[in-house]
Amino acid sequence: MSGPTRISEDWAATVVGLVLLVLILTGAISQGILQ
Amino acid sequence: MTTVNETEALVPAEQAERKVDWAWVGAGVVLVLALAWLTRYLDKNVPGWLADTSLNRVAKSVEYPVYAIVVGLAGNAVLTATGVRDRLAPAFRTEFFIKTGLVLLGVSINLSLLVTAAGPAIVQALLLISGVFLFTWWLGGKLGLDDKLRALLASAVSICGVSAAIAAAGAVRAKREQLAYAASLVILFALPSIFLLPWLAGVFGLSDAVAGAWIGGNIDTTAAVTAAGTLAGEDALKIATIVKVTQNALIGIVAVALTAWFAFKVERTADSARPGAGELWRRFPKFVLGFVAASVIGTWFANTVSAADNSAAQAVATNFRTWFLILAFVSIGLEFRLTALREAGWRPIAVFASATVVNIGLALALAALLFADFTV
Repeated sequence: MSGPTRISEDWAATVVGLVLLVLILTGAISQGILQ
Repeated sequence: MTTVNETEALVPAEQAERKVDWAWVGAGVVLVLALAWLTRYLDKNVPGWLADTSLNRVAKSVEYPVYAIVVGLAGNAVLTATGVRDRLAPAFRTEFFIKTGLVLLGVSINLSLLVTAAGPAIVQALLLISGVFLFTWWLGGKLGLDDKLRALLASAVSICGVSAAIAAAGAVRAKREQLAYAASLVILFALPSIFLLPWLAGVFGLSDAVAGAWIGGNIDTTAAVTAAGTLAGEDALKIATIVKVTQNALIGIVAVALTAWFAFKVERTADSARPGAGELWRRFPKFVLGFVAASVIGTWFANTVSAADNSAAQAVATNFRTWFLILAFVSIGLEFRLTALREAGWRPIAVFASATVVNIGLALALAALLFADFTV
């Protein structure tokens, strides 16, 4: 795996994690979605 | 420029060279999701199935990473036998799943705890992590372990198990097999500790605070700390959780330190130039920034909304985190290659076991010293 691929995976995880977090904290996603 | 180390990092070389066929990748994604669902199903139902048997207590303490790795390994065997594993492999995004899970872990860390209630916890965490990390690193060196595996085992045993091993793997660019190995050892050693430590706390006649600090400082997975803390009592659980969360919060600092250490010392040859800030930034596992950002957001949220709203949101975040980590461990099982472990042999197990014993002793001494007069 080349350097740039690894970095993009790091950033992808950061962006997806933080976006999910914002959706959870604003109440856009609730517990029901995972049941 | 791509170095040899980068090419080897966290991915088998033959996989990187293979052309991606998107139909197979789609099938791989469906497979990973299906196996994750199966893991969740087993995690929820196996304790109920074994409730009336002698395996009851073991079944209750087995956590989802165990089911996920077993399910992944079973899938691995089937896919290898049918010869399709390498075509599906691009969908096994271990790193992405696990790092997203770790970013979500950040929100559970309330930074204000670190400046108020956790004075002794911070002192204990700093002394315990440095002591156990350096011992493990030293012993790993004596037994001739690979530097990357040394860093993974030292982080896993001294901080908080699997999460720390992942952060360390990002910082030192370890191979996936090394990460899977470290994670398996963490889980293997956490299981007996859940029962052993509360029992020993009773035998030694430790106070709730000392017992909690000992358990929190010693057991390597947060869920196992909760399980052991529950066995030792409610007050012990509170202290154990504070101590564990304090250690978790130090993951970011250790990742930065390991990045710098490997850049300046371990991987630097005598004739190479001193690495600059650009090189350090290139090596730094960027998801740690997401982890820290999530902690800041989580702290702000916890101090802004009601306790009920906060715990409701935390429950959803924890649920998502669990899903991502299940996907990651299923992927680890699917990608596992026995040959890499055969090369490692018995030495990592000896290092991990010795480090665990040192961790138990040092954590007990520090807990007795720092938490003797501590009240919840």
